[in-house]
Amino acid sequence: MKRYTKTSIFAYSIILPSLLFIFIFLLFPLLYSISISFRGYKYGVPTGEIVWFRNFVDIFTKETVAPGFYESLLVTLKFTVSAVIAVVVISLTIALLIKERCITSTWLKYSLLLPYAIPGVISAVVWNWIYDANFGVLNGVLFKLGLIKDYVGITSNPGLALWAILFAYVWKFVPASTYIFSAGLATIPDSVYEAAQMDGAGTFRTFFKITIPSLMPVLQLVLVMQTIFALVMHFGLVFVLTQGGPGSRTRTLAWLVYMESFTYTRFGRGTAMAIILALIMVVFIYVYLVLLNPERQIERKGGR
Amino acid sequence: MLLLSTISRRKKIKRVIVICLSVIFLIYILSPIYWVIISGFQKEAALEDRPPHFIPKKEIVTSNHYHFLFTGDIPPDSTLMLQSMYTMSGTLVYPAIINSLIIALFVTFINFMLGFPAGHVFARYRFWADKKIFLLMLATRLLPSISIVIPMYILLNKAGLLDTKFALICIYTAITLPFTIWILKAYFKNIPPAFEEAARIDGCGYFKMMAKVVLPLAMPGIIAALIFAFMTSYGEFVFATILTQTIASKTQTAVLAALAQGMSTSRGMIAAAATLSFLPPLVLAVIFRKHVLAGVCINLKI
Repeated sequence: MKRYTKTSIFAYSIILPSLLFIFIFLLFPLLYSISISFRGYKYGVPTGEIVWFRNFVDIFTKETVAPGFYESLLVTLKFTVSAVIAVVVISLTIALLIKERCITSTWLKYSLLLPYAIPGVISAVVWNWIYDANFGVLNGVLFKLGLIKDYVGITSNPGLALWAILFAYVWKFVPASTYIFSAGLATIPDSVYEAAQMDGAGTFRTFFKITIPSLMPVLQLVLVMQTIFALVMHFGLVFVLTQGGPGSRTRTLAWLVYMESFTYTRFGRGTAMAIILALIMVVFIYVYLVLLNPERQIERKGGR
Repeated sequence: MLLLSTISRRKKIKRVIVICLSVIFLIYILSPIYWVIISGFQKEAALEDRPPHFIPKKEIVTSNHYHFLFTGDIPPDSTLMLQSMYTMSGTLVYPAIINSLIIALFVTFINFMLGFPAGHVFARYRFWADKKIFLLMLATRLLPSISIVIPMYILLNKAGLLDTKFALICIYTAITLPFTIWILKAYFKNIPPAFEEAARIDGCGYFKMMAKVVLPLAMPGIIAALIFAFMTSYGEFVFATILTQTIASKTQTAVLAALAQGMSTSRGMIAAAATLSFLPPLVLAVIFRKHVLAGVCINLKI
């Protein structure tokens, strides 16, 4: 017991500075946000009135006071589900292509470094230029191919805006999960595939009977991790490409929080929304870190 | 013989499909970068052509946009209408990139000084509430920045620290440290502790052991973690755009996002600015590609 205490004192003396940083600049603001959400704000200044849970109740019940909350919840859901599916399908496909060891494999593997390294919001600037309604290259390509008669606004089109954001989002977030899938695929021994081939299993049967089951732990991790990302990491793209528009077509929860807080300076309600968003994410974070626990994968495998 | 030939034919078809798909994905991945780099070197008037020049000819190539970004000199040959497109916010790009680099380098250094020993402690010692602390740290990090930024704004406003590099450095350190510690903890788990024990038996003190034995062994993991910390803090946007107001602390992400909003800003200049902005992390990622690739899945244990 005494030894344990001594180790604890030593360990805490080493990690204390790190913990202080994390406590002061992450945990404390989060706790403080609860106090903000209980206050009323007018023109960015606290009214001094403690309204307790009224901000939360307003968001859920008063459509006139907090417009568009459910709508934005729906947009967020639509974006998150499509983004997760798109990222997982595309990155798994690319990982399988890399595994084929063609001449293109090395190219694919290293070219993915570029979107991975480019800061998210800079990629938004790049895509903004590509989508440009007057001189954008996407319009140019479609025009040259004869698919459109005149240049069209892409991010200003109500039907297209969210998908334009999705297309750019996928571009940025595919690399990381591709690398993870690649690492997962590498753990499946070649002998298993050879045996399947001997037994006459086709490409699709091999994929569904061998690849997917062997990849299950990795697949689960990527799914949850991508959900955590997709819920908020599109903020930079929305900021640069659409500002939540046209109308409210791309007004996701993250953007609504920003609007409430910094456009309308209703910090109390904005913070309340931010807390709701954080609570949604806590569910996925719990699943990711505790139920799936990335570090426990190896033990699970060893026990099999 | 017949069976063999069908198998080889199937293999050929498969190969063709693989290469076709790979090329499609390569175009998707690389073309935006190609396009933005090319655009940065084209004359503004040429960028307005329909359809655009997919492969620029010699007469439309120019380095004026870059010249403007570095010196603030408006290209002399441009028309009055064009001159107005070189907005003064363009001159902020270069200092903003310097700001970003300064902030990211500080954050990376603090990450090394604090994260390296902390990761080691989490990997090697069992102590009071170690697992809970570790989990809490990671969970806090995964919560959305947009939830943290509002209270942060109010707190920093009270403390008079809005619009300072200092505030950004501290926040970025806090958001990068959990991952740095996570990556390093996972990396240390793969190094047998025997080396450290041997060093201790030979009478090596803690600090000497960390510097002379642990540091060289853990170098690949440290590089992976630090590059990740650098890229995260260099490219962070939510805090950067809300907590900064002037060029005293504005980072390249905030400046670029604002620049891209301008309806009548020179598109060539924006493209050149974007290219300059993503160059530092890109060069780093290419140089340390092996470490970056390993770093992505280091803590997944697959």
